[in-house]
Amino acid sequence: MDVEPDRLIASVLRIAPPEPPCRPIHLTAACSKVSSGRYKVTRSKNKPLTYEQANPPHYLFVRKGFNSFNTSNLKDGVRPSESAMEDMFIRKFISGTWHNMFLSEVIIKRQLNMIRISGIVVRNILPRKMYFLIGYTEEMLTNWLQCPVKLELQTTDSREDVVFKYI
Amino acid sequence: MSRIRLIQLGSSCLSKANFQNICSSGFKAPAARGLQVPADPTRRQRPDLLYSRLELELRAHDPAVLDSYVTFLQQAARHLGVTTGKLWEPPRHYQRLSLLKSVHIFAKHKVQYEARTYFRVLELLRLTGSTADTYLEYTQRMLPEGIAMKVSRHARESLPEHLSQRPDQSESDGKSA
Repeated sequence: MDVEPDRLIASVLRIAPPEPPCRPIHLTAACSKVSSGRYKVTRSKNKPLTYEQANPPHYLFVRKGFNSFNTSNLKDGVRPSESAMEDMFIRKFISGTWHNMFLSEVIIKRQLNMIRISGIVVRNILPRKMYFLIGYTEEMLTNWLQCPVKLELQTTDSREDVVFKYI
Repeated sequence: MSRIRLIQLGSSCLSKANFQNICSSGFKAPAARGLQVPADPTRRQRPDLLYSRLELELRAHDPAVLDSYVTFLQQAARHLGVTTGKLWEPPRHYQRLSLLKSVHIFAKHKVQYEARTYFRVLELLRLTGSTADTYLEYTQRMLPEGIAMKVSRHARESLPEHLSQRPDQSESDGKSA
């Protein structure tokens, strides 16, 4: 016959057909309680998330990119801890200098002896003030980190441009 | 172009004194303006080193960026007339860490991290020292962020004097006796 006898008997007797033999295993706890990098859904569904925030950390290098580009964590890489501390300092400094103006994460790229900082900024202040902030940031960071620091910003009008979804 | 200018400036910022000097300098010879003086062709230079091969070992976290940079290296070699040897991929290396998830106690709950390193090695054959310096300067300035390059130079030297001449006859007689 073209149908398996078990399935035929099951269909005649109106019982559930037997499952094919398999032994599944739990790869995570029965209820995964991982909550790192995940945002809680609101009742009114009006909390905006950027693409970066919407994808949890296990999507890194799959759907997400990195925020920091350097060679310190390669095999036989030099100064990994110093680079990490400098990155943390740069991010704190930028978040304190540019009050609520960075819409994206701060991207830090290290090339030769230079540090290039990128990000998306909202245009809510005068261009003259923005130029001052760029110069101030570059000058202060160059002095503290002792290497050329260059800001490469992209600006946008509204905050809705970076919103990926609302939860 | 801005990238190259930044490297020449280094970490020093334009102080007020420097700025005033530049403004008031007017026309000056290149050396006084702080630019490099071109080499005097009449001055005797050391003979160029000859390299039998140059090995460029590249390491990165992202194999796609590595592949695209290798394409750029091969194109640059073609444009500058440099012979490329083999290109091969040593086995990748994954560094895995299992660390405690919590700051205090809960040793049963761990979190795992992984750092992946991908390799490529490109061989360049039969270069002179100046060609090698030019090629490496160009390609290293264009290194993408996140790629590391290690250069192994294999130079050819003439036999040293103490090996190319026969030792003294009297010395060898004394030792054999």
